[in-house]
Amino acid sequence: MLVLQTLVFGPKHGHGIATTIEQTSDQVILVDHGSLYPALQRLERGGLIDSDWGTSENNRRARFYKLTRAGRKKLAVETSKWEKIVGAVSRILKPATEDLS
Amino acid sequence: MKWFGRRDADLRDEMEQHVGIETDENIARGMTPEEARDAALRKFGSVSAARETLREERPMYRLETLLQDVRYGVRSLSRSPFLTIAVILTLGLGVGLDTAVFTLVNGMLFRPRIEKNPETFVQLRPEYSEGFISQWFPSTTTLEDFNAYRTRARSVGDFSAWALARGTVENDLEQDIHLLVTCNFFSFYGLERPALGRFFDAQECENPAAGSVVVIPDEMWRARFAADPHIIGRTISLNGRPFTVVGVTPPRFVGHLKSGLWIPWSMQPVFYKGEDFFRKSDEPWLTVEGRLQPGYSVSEANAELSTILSQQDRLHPERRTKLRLTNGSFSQEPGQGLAVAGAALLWMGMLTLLLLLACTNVTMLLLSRGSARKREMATRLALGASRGRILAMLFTEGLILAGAAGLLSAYLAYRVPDILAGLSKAWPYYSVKPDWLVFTYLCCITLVAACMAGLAPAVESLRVDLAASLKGRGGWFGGMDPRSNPRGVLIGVQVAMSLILLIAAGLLARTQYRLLNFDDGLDGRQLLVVRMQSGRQASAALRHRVEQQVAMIPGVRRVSFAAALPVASANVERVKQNGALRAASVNFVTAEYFQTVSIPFLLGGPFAESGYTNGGSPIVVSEKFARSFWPGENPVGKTLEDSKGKRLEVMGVARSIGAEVVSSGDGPLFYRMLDKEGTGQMLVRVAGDPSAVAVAIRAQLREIDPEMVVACSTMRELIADWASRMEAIVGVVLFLGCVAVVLAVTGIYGVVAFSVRNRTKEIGIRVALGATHARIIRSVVVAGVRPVFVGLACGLTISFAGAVGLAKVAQEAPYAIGVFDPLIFVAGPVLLCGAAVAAMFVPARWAAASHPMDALRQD
Repeated sequence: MLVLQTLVFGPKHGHGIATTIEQTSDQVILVDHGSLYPALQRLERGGLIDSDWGTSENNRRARFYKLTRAGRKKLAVETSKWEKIVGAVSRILKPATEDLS
Repeated sequence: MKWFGRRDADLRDEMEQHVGIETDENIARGMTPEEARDAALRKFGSVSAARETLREERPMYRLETLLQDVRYGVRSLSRSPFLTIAVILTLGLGVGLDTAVFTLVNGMLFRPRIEKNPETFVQLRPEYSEGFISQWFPSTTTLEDFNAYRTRARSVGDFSAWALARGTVENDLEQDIHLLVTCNFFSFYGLERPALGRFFDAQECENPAAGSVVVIPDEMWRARFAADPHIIGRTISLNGRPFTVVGVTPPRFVGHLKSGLWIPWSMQPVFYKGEDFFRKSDEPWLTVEGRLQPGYSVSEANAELSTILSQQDRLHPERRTKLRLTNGSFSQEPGQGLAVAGAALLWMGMLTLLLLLACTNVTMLLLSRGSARKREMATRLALGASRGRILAMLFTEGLILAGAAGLLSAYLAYRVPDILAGLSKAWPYYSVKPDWLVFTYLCCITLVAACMAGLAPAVESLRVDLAASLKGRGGWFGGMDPRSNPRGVLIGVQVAMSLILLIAAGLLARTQYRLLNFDDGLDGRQLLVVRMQSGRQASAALRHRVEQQVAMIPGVRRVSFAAALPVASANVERVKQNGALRAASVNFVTAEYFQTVSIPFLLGGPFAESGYTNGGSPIVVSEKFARSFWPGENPVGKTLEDSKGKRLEVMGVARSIGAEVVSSGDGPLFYRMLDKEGTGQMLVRVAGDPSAVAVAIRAQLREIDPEMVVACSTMRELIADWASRMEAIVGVVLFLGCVAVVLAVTGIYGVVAFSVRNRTKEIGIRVALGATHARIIRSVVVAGVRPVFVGLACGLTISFAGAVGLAKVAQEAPYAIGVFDPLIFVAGPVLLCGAAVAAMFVPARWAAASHPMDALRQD
């Protein structure tokens, strides 16, 4: 889900995806760069992302990944699911803290 | 969806680039190039781990690992070739033979004898009520009923019929049984075209005048007419009348009886003494068969045909008929149900035993192998293989073995029934296509067994104490002692089962042998047995005339009549001695019987001509009888009472003939005088060439009664005939017995060989400490022989129990199986024990010959 989200704003290469996740989460989520690739493979095989060779900022050859339409839909579904869970958990936690006060 | 993952090189490149980008950034942050790269690699994590995961997730991964496993499996199996071959042979033989024999038994007993579409085949078995029953053959149909079925039935189509006819072909002495058939008989049985010539045409089937034609089977053409190329159109004589051969069937056609040919049914009167059942159409003589029309079941057809039959019944006041539709197999013949069930059980018992033997063998071999591979498993685990992966690998190995065995069994199951069925000339051909249902079932069972046997050591070996296994110690067969329980038990069980099969085979073979060599002074070659069937009323005058005429033929020494032959089982009667009822066998004979059959008298003499003494009946008792009823006394003159209260007086004591020894007997034998009117069979003692005399006898009898049906053969031929019927069965059982022994022996060899290999270190130390070859051999053999003895003991007990059971069943046979033959019960265990010891001897010798340094270094 996180990978899909980072691609919302445009195609990125593997390194870019990893650094984006780390930076955006304020280093809370540290990605093992190596384990990113199997995940990318799975997403690609599932048809959620597309990839192609391109040139990076430093003029290196890098493979760029972008979201497919199916990927966008999946992202929307996953995001709403996540928000539901988060909402539910916070509601459970909130009354407890209120009670205690 | 993208099915093909990107190539490894591609991914590597990408990951390399990724690291490169990070390195660049690090350099931008101020690190040195080496530091930058190191930091980047660290951040990336393990490249090789990532590559591994990537590879594992590829869709083709499963297939790749499967292929890899197969390669490993084949390699590892070929490293122990003997074991692999032993396992494949054992499993293959076990399943294949089992299925083969079962197919044969199935074909003989449970399936109809027809190859084309056996599921739609039905045979009609009507039971007419009293007064309307056929004089000729049971369960046959009348012509009017047949026509009724043909015109009115809707559930069954394509009716065909046949009837039996006795006839002598050319100059035969014996009468053969031929078939009178309707025109569609051949196509009904699935034969569209003959091998030569043609089948009957409509004219021949309807018009008796045009019907003097026959179709002969391929076997007759070759055996009898030496494959005469001009056989079509040749005239042969049947019952003395000329018939033209118009066709020859291809070989192994199931639609006939041994040495019989086919005649159009229009010729029926010729074979039934002139009685014309086309005119007298309410006489039953036809066996009707038909094919179920699509959409009808057997019970529906039965109901419809029964209705038609009851409509027919109304044409004949007082006739009530019941109809049964069978599938034509032997098991469904009325009255045969129980015998068939018994035979089937017996066979299946033996087959299951054999299969179990094969499976235990395989299990033992594979377990031994599993224990030897403990070290290999430990190494693999240490190198990082997952347990799942190893299990998959071992399972694949098991599958390879099972697959190879499966191929072998398939081949055997296909070829062997044909071979077995062809063994005995006496049998007609049965359809022996393998029953795929059975085969699949058997295959599954053995596959499961093989895989379990393959997995059991796998699971065991995975619960490994790594350190101990690497050093060669520890584990299930760690003790390496054949005395250790699981292996010992398996050896014992194997030996027991082989012994049972061996004894069964031995008993049957011995009986067969005794039967074939049964002569016992009867000189069967010079004794003619003449069976007569006359349409005329049997009368004393007739018999007297026959006796006189035959006695005058040159070469005839003596003539007598008897109800039962010397070898066959006689009737059972109860006689009273001093008020107590006892069982005894009785044969009714004329006075000359004893001299005809060359049975000497020990005391007294045969019945006098007058035949009666003091109001009682004269009897002659056998030696055995005398010893049983009046031990130590002279029985001549003593009396007994028969079950009707008539007095029987003993005239003499005759020597016991071999039959009494061979037969399980219902009691000792005695002879009563045959009634003047009774015929039974005629026994003729001849001097000189028996076949010439036989021809003369036949001619003479035909003169006396031209319609008489005569069958004439020597005693020896009769015995050989009976023997040949059992021939194939005995052959099969002997074969199974041998296979059982081979299986047991290879199993023992395998186990002992492995155990010895595993004990090499111990043996090496022993040799180094000064043990001689002989001592080592002795220790191995002695240790191994204990479970063998236990197995023999169990096997003997079970065989004995089985023999007692068999004795009860065997009383039905025309001659008996000597079930308590001590020779077999002793020779069997001895043979098996010897073979087992020999099997153990070989690896023991190897072990003793091993060099202590090699042994110690083996660690």
